[in-house]
Amino acid sequence: MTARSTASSATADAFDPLELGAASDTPPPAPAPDTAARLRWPRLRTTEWVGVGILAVVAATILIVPLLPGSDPYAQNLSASFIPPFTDAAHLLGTDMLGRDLASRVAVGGQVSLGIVLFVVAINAFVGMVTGMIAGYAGGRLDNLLMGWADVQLAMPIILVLIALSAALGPNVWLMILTLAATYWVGYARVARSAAMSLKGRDFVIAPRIQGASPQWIVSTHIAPHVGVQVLILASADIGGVLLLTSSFDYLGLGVQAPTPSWGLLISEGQKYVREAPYLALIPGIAIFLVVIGTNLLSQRFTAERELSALRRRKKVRA
Amino acid sequence: MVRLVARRLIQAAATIFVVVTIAFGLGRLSGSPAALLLGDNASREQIDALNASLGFDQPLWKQYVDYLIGIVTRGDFGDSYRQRGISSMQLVLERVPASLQLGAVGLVAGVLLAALAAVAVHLTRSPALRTSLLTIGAARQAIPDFFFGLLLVLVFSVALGLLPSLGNRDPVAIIMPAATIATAQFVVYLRLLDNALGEQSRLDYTRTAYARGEGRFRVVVAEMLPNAVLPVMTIAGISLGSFLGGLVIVENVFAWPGLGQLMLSAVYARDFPVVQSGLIVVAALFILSNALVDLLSALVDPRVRHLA
Amino acid sequence: MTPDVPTQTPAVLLKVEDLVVGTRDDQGREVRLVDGVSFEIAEGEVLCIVGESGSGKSITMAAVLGLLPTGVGVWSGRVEYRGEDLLAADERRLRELRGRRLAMVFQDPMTALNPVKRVGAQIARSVRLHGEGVSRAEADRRAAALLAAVGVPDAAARARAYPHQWSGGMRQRAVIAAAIAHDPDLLVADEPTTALDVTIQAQIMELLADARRRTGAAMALITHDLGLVAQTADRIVIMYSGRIVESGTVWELFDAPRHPYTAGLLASLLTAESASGRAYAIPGSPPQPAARPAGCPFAPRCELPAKSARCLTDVPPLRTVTHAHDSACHHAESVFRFAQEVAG
Repeated sequence: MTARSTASSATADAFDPLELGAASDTPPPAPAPDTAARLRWPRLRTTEWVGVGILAVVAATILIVPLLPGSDPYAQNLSASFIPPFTDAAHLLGTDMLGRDLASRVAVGGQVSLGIVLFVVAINAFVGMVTGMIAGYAGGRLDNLLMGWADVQLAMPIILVLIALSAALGPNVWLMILTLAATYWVGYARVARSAAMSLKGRDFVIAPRIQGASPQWIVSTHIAPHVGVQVLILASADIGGVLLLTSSFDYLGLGVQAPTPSWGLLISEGQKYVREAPYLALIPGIAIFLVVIGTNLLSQRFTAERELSALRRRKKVRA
Repeated sequence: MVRLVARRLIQAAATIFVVVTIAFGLGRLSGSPAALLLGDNASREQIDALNASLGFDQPLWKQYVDYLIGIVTRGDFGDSYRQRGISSMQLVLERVPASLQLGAVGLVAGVLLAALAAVAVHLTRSPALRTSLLTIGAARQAIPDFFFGLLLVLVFSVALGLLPSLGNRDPVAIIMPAATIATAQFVVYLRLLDNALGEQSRLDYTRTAYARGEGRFRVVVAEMLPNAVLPVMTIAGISLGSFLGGLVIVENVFAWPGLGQLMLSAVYARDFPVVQSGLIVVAALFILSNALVDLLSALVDPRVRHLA
Repeated sequence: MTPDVPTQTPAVLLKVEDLVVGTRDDQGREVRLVDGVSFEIAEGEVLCIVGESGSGKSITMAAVLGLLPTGVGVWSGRVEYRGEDLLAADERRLRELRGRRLAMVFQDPMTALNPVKRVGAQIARSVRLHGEGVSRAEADRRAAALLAAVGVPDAAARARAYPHQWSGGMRQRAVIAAAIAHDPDLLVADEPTTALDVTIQAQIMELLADARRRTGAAMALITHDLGLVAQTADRIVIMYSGRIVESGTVWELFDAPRHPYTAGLLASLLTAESASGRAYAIPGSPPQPAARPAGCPFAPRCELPAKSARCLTDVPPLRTVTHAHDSACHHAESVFRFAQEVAG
């Protein structure tokens, strides 16, 4: 799965006498394209197609199943409780402790969980991108303020913040969303900031400035597209992590509240009956696993590149 | 040296003070707790009486000052709402050993396994070994900790009946929760150490060692590894936060009687003083472990030592 | 430094024949980093291997000692140390030779020593590795003695310090001390002074010369600095893009280069005469190893008037031009005039 990164690091293993020449005779990296039009969609590899496939299947399931007739995640029927999966045509994945159809609960739970995740990521990405871009381009006091706040963020475990707030105000899904929104945007801000800073000195940014273009125009027309791509990459890689986090909060009861289904909550409900009906917790758990794997496969190229870009800068281009 | 320690102590005290204040503020966020605690059927007088006995009828600043005075003079951090008359700090401190035990066992196991694996990868120089380990690691990382714990329970408690699924009554009960933590840490530290060892192998002192005739095992273990742990320790200090988060979750999955589980049940019961005291203790432990990491770094790296 | 005229032909210490070292790049293409290199080093002589970054000079000597990184391997050729086939030797035999008979000193003294171990301990390690049953105390004493011998003041006390407490020049001395601990036959120095101040450079070169004088060791000096070459070399090998383009004694090469690359290198040296005018610079840059042009690898940058179409199609072989002077140029004869012109 991490074949690419491992291949590069395998050859980079052990010492490299070619590193000896301190002066590099390699050409500098190619300059970024100067218009948004030149941003092309990269070709995907097999593992990435697998990721796309997994995500497509999951998305299709959670969108289609609730539309099927007889699909109701809330309808209780105590006489039809604990029906195992694949035994009853009316309940393909079985029923839970209250006789509710598991398939619809998992599907709607998926909509809820993923909806929250996408929402959180989108807000964080947007806020982070705007803040980071401005701070990176403008520099100075704004920049210092941002970095200062970012450092404070670094040490705080989100879960403790959420525990504290939930104890004070009562567990609530909006509280979780707000807490995540208030802390997670920092990562995007950093990326946006460094991207903006590196773009600040490029010709296609300096030229318009000399010609008298306003900073807002420059930022929105020239800097935003490139920063946007970086942020998008980070966001797609982040989805898995945010899903793990929000489902953990749901599991603990600090996020989505019953009776609204969400994958984490379903697992927590199913845990009580893990001996009699393990499928209740297993199925939503597998769903989470699939989504995380899918997004990781898709974004692994970019995360591997980010991890290795620092190493690559030292490894001279040999061919 | 003395100056350094003094400075750290002052910083620690300042941080704790800030945490105490924030926790206090949060506790007063939701207004008076009596209505919540007594439920819907409580009468006005009952609510007022409870509020008065808890001190909530006082102005905010006086409550704050009383709270601080209580801490400093009597070590009184407030009584639990749920268990009246019992100090919240006492409840919290009772749970700390169990958390420390689980956290330490899980972390140490994970890091040791990761070190073994990383060294093995670099000794054998086998891309197959690295790929398979990293793939297994990636799969583990895609499983939320609470679900992984549940899977362990399913296999070892339900199916095989080998291990108890909750509590810490039985000494072997620590195995599954510790394994959950250890596997998660293993993945993180394996990557870190693998990268760190890779970086070290590119430095000249490694070549110098080989050039004087050292064998591979000695170079990896005695020359590179001591250098590789340095950046890893720095990152370990930073990722302490997420480690704590994982600990809270695992405690809840296995009903491990630790601080995390206590704090969470306090949230459900809206027993804020317990959460408050818990936050203070966590902050203190945080500071302690950061100091520990710094100390270890100084021990291993002479450059850090001489900077101090 | 006046050359000693040998009274008899000294024994051949190291013999390299048609060495090819290659790797695969990120796209899986085969890349030859060293493309058929042959040379010899006699006992006690100083051979300078000169070339730019990427010419393959470091890789060549790394291959000789068996210190190639993962992914880079010897594809063909022969390496003999006193008649013993080094490429066929197993790792144990190579470990026996390394540090004892064949020593190597690397470029960057800042990272050549392990930062978390004391300097003396690292030198003592060299001593103990090949000294049968040497006790720790004895090894420490010898380490201190070695450090004193390379000019480190107050050696015994300073040996207890860590590398970051030593200056760059001192660290390089320590590295050299470790290298000569067992009086090696051959000392390979890979750009030993590049990372040091000019004044320290001279000291280190003097130190190396002194060590050679005492032990009779041969030296393979890898460098891109022609000034160093002029002071130290007995013989020179010029490498370009993985091949040897010229080789000969230092007098031959400096007086009458027979390859346009060498001529260009010499011309680009700032001498007292040329400092007033403009220094010559070879245009362009060396080809990437994976994308060598057909024909002479230097042809695209060559400004020899006699350059012909043949230069772009046929790889020039390394042939003897005059006594003990080889060149890989189709038009070696006309280089002399060109060299005079560009030197200004």
